[in-house]
This record gives sequence, structure tokens and C-alpha cells, in this order.
Amino acid sequence: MTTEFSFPRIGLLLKSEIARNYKIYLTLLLVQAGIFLLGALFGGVNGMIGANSLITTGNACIIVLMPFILYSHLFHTVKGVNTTMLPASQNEKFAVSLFQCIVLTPFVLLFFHWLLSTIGMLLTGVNEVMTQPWALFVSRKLHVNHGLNMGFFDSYFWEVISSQTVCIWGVYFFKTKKFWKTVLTICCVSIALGIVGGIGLNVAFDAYEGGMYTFFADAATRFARIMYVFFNLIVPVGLWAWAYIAMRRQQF
Amino acid sequence: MEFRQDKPIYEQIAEYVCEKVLNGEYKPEDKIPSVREFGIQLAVNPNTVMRAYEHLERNGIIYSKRGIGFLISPDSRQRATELMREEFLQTVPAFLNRMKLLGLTFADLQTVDEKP
Amino acid sequence: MIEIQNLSFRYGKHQTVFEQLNMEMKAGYIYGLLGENGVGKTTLLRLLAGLRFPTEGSIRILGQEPRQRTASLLSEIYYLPEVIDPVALSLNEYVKLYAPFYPHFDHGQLAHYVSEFGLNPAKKISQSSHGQQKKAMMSFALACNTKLLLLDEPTSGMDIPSKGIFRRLIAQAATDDKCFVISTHQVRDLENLIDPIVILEHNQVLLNNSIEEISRKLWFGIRPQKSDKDLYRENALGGYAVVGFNENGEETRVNIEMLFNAAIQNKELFKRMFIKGEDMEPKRSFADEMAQRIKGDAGLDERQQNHDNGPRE
Repeated sequence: MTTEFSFPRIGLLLKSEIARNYKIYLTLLLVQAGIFLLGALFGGVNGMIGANSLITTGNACIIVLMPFILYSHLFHTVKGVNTTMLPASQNEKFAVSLFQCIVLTPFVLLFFHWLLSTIGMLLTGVNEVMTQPWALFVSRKLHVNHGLNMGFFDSYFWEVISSQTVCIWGVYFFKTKKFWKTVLTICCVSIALGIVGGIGLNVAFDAYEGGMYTFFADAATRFARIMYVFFNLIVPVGLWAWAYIAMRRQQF
Repeated sequence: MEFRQDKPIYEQIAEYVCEKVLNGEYKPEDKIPSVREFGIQLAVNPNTVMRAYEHLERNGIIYSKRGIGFLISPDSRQRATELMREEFLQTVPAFLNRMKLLGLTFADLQTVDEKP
Repeated sequence: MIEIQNLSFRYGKHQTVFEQLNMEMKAGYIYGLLGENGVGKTTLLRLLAGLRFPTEGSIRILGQEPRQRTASLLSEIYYLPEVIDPVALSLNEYVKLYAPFYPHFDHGQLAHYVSEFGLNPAKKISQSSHGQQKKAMMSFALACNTKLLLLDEPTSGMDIPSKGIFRRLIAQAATDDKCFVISTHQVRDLENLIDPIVILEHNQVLLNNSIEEISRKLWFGIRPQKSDKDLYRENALGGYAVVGFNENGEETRVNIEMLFNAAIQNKELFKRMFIKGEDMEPKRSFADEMAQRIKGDAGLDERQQNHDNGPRE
């Protein structure tokens, strides 16, 4: 296996990553279950239904933060060394981290969510306990009202991946021992992007709703689309690329 | 193995082999451990063992046979004695200086019992 | 195997660790890397491992640059840091996950090291004592059979019996196609194994030579009187334990600790003798010439002028 990109080796990498991380996933499951239980204890069936929304929001936050949780060991002077010295190309390691953040984590959380909802439903016999799993992902008015045709997949793609990029960029961008500096930067950048993106989209949205529709409909829609593509595709892909470059530059 | 400070290690290893020749542990035509094996036994760098073997070979105590390794020479006993005598005599000047420093004579030495 | 050319390394703008360093390391040798604290031993190992990047110059190992961190090169390098990450896995589990990354990994060898060190491979590494952790990771490192093995203070934290076992296992593992680079303070733990010796100082290499070469140029022993030509001197029974020039071709046992002290006190001289390989003229005049240089050379440590050196700390 001396080529620089081999699937067997990626499989090995993934296996070792999961062996390292399974405790994190289990903790998340326990947290979710805990919220469900609390809901049940304090609110009965209604509590459980309410807990479901809390879980949904919680899941969204977790998915976004997962890159940071999974890869914060790269800040550790010693653990970072082991990861870097493992005989696999940097492309393979990056691919595995991408896979773990974008595919594996949401899938695992979705599964837990479904599992807990089903159990809740079985215990109470109430259908409302179980919400549609894709409510996991926040949807925006923009999708429905502007005909941008956002279904589940689009929603996932635009929302989840774009949100995660700030975290993964943060992880790789900072050199070792700058843990808190990274956390602060991730928060600031996320908020900044959120605000700017929100303002941009809201301006477009208000322009549409404010009746400028008749004169500026095309421009408004185009602007909305451009903003959307920019904040949910160009910025994330840009950050992923930046994260990749930063990863190659990391020193321990 | 513990080595002394006053002699290069490779010489001490050669001496070690000579001792074994003289006390009969190594007999002529016996195969001695390879450079690596000996290095492992003594926890010494193989380069150093190699120098020891070269030294022994030069002095005719061992010889190398292709495909087999190093073997004890037929006249090793005599050669080992010669070599060790040479080495021993080199330590005599220091011994004599010490005697001089302490004002001892050869007559004084004769009163010392030889240890069994 | 290792070619270092014009390597410079700086932390930030002002903290220079290496300046235009040139060095070669070959397969089939066990290099001992010595130097005072903070001089850059760990940094050099990390540069070789590809964990740090040169500021200027290049490093090539087996023809590749370690900073590229290619899978093919990484599978031939194992870096064992001084402080080990205590994973929450047993050695058996660890081996199952990570051995497949190393193409030359030998399970039979691993079993041998484990039994020699007296380890329990089913016990979680994080729950073992510091010494056991070190031995476990050492066993893994040796069993990987990488062409380059970088050990940073391997015996720190090991008990005395383990050090002896470690010595034996290193002697066993070192083959003609492998290169070991071992950085250490505990010279006595590795005394008879390391050859060549590399001595690092701030920004420079003072020595990168085999024991044989060193014993040809330098003399180690006890002399009743002091001499101006002594490179380093300690009080000892019988007069003075001395490191001096080998004037009559007599070969003495290289005392690595004294060698180190001599190097630190005669930096320019060592560089000239060993790195630049200044040729030896008929031994007497060479020694005299060097002695002349010691006295007259402005760049040397002031202590050089004072002939009464006490034992070094």
C-alpha cells in the first residue's frame, strides 16, 4: 500500500478514528436520551414532545460543532503527533475527517434521534412523540417562498455542511496549544457570517416582501440566490479548502 | 556486560574471547557467535564487535569461513597467550610507577601471597 | 539515508535553533544525539519526522522530504517522543488498529519484546505505570521495523533492569538497513550502543563521528600531571582524568561524558577537528598547533585560558 490514496487504508483510518471516537458518540446518545427523559419526567407525554424539538435543535448544534469535538485532539501536543505520524497521506486523513463530520456524524445523530423517538412512541403510544427525522435540519422561509426548491437534500447540503466549515477551518487553522483562541475565533466567525448572511438574506427577503416585488423582483430574487450560493456554497468550500491548506501547514 | 574504563571496548571484547580460548571454553574449530549475535549478548554496537573480530583475526586467534562465520583457529591457544601477554605487559609501566610512588621493591612483592 | 543541507530553523524571528546545518546520517548505524537542554535535540528529531518544517534548507530521507508527510515515507519512520500519549486501549487493541499501517510490522517480534519487558498486553495502556507505558510503546515502535527510528529520551522513566533489557533489544533490532537516532541525556544508559556520536550546540554541530574516529584523534585516560594541551580535565585518583589529543596513536576507550564536556569547552576546535575534518599532520605538530590555537583563538570560551578545570556539573 505505497500509493498515496488507497481505499483499504482509508478503511483502516476510519476504523481507528471510530475506535478513538466511539465514546464521544455514546456521550451524545446519553445526552439526547437524558433530554428525552427529563421531558418525560417533568411534562409527561407533552414534555416528551417538547423535548423532541429541543433535541432537534441540540442535534443541529452538535452537528455543527462535531468537527471541533472530534479533532480538538490536534491541539494536544502529544496526541497531535500520533495522528500526524500515522502512515497515511494527508489527503486520506483529510478525506476521513470530512467523511466523519459530514456523513457519519449526522447519520449517527439521525439514527439516535429516530431510535429515541421510536422508544418514546412505543412507551407512550403517542404518535406526535416521533417527529420527522429531517426536522433535524432547520429550514428557512427562503426555500418555500422563493422557489429555490429546497428539499431535504438541499437543506442538508446547504445548512449542515456550510455550518460545519467554520469549525473544521478553525481546527486546522490554528497551531497547537491555541485551543481557546480557536474557540473564540470560531464563535466570532460563525456569528459574523451568520449576521452578514442573515442581513444579506433578510434584505433580499424584505425587498421582496416590501412590495418592491413589482419593480425589483428579478433583482431581488437573483440577489437572494447569489447570497445564498455565496454563503452556503462558496464560503464553505472556501473554508474547507483553507482548512486543507492549513492542515498541510500544521506543525507540532 | 560491564566494561573497564582504561581500554577500548573492542580490545576488551577481544580479551574476553582470548580468556575463553585459554580456559578451554572455546576450542579450536569452534564456531563463535556472529558479530550481531555477540553484540546482542553484550549489548554493544555491532561496529565495535566487528573491530574486535578484526583484531582477533589479524592476530590469528579466529578466522572467517564463507557461509559459516567465524571459527577459532587451530593454534589459537598459543596466539591468545601471546596477545594477552603483550597486553598485560603494557600495564606494567603503570604498575611500576605505582611501586615507585609507594617506595616498594620487588622484595616487598614476594611477601604477598598468591591468591588461590 | 538522511541528508540535511543548509538547514536553518527558527522559532518566530529571533529564536534560531539551527543555522546552515549540514549533516548526513547513514543506514546501519545507531546515532547518539547529545546536547545540553534546549539546544534542539527534540527539534531536530521533529524536523526529521516531518512534524516541523525547516525555515530554510532541506532535509531528505530516503529521497523524500519529511515535510510532505507522504504515506510511503511515514511508513518507514517511527518517532517515539519523550512523553507518550497514554491511550485508553490495551497493547493488543492498539496493535490491531495501528499495526496494519506499517508494512514491515512483525507480530513475532512484538511478542518477543513484550515478554522480554514483562508486559501485560491485555492491560489498558492508560492504566499502566509510566514505565510500563513507555515499554509498551517502545515494543510497538521496534516491531514496526521502520527504516528510521527516532527515539527521544527512550530510557527516561525506565527502571534500571528495564534499561538493560532495552539495550539488548536495541542491539537486536538494529540491522544494516535501519538507522536509529537516539537523543539522550542519560549517556550511560546507552554508552556502548551509540556509534556514531552527534553533539549539538546552539546553532551548530560540534561532532558527528564514529567512536573509532574519535579514539584516533583524542586520548582518554588518567595522567599524573596537568598539561596545557588538555581539552578537558577532572580530578581523579592518580592525578587527572583527561581528554587530550591522541599524540602517539594509542587507542583508548572513549568516555562519552568526558567527550561531551570537552566538546562544550572547545567548540571551535571540535568543529574544526571533526566537522571540517582538518587533516592531521604528524601527530606532535598537530597537537602543538592545536594547543597554540586554543591559547590564541579569540573566539573561545574564557575558561579555556584558565587551566584548572573542575569537574563539570
